[in-house]
Amino acid sequence: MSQSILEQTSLRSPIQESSSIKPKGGRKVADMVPPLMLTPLIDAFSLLVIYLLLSYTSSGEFMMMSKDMQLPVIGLAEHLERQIIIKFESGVYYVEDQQVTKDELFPTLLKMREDFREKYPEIESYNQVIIQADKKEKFLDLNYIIHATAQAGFEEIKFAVIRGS
Amino acid sequence: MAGASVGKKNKKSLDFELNLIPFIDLLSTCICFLLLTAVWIQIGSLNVKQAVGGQSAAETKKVPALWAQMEKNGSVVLKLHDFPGAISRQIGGNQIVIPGTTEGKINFEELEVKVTAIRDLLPELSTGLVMPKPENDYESVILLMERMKKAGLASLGVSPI
Repeated sequence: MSQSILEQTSLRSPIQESSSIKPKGGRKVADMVPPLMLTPLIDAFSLLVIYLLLSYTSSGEFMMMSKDMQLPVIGLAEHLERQIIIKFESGVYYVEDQQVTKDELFPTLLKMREDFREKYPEIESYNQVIIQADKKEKFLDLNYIIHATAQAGFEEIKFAVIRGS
Repeated sequence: MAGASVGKKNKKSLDFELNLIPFIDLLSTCICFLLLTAVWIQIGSLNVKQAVGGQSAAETKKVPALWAQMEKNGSVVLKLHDFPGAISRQIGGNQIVIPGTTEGKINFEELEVKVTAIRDLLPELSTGLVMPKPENDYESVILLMERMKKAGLASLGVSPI
């Protein structure tokens, strides 16, 4: 009884009928758009975040590797920590990305160790080096590095490898 | 009656709708960050000691050691150093030759079996030294050291040429 005659007899407005905010009058039309199920989406996102967080590791970030370089794959690899990196790639030696000749390896390593002490005081031992080379390189080329590291007083060598199964 | 009608009018829905959009935004940002910073290649290291040390020969304590001399053709000669005589005799000499494969590669399986057998005879053996040739590739040197480590030689060294 509260509705007036004018309201009941007024012309139908197609715009107001189809309004999704406040539809007025007319027949109720079934919503053709299915509601978006957000719960499975959030479940999937959460699982992805958990997986990525678990597989997140900070090791190896300091080591840059070109796409042509293939490291040997072994199963007994140990955790790699920050040390001086000596790289041999395409016939060129690099000590911490600084290109050197094989004769310059020894003096550069001595200087680099002092720089390392200042730059990374948190490192436990400064008597270790990381050697990074392609798996097809001949041992003769790496021999110069081993000689230079022995002369410079590095006691331990860490050969960079890829952890395999 | 009047009270009941008032109660019906004030009835509100107790279902609280959680706004999920910010949560989805947060998760999407986390996923993007983690995907971009993820390290897909797991780099590790094989740690070895320098074979050339600073100690003199007199200071060095003599411990049994197994030297693996690599040859160009893929064969490996295992040399027993400072082994007790009885064990050397049991093995059949101070060196064992492990022939390479037909492709000229190292026979890693046989090498591991031999080193394990030697270590079974002398359990305190933990020192190994790899002596590569200039022509040997880096991968075979690393794989040989891995096999020796797997056989129980914890203290490994590599000898420069």
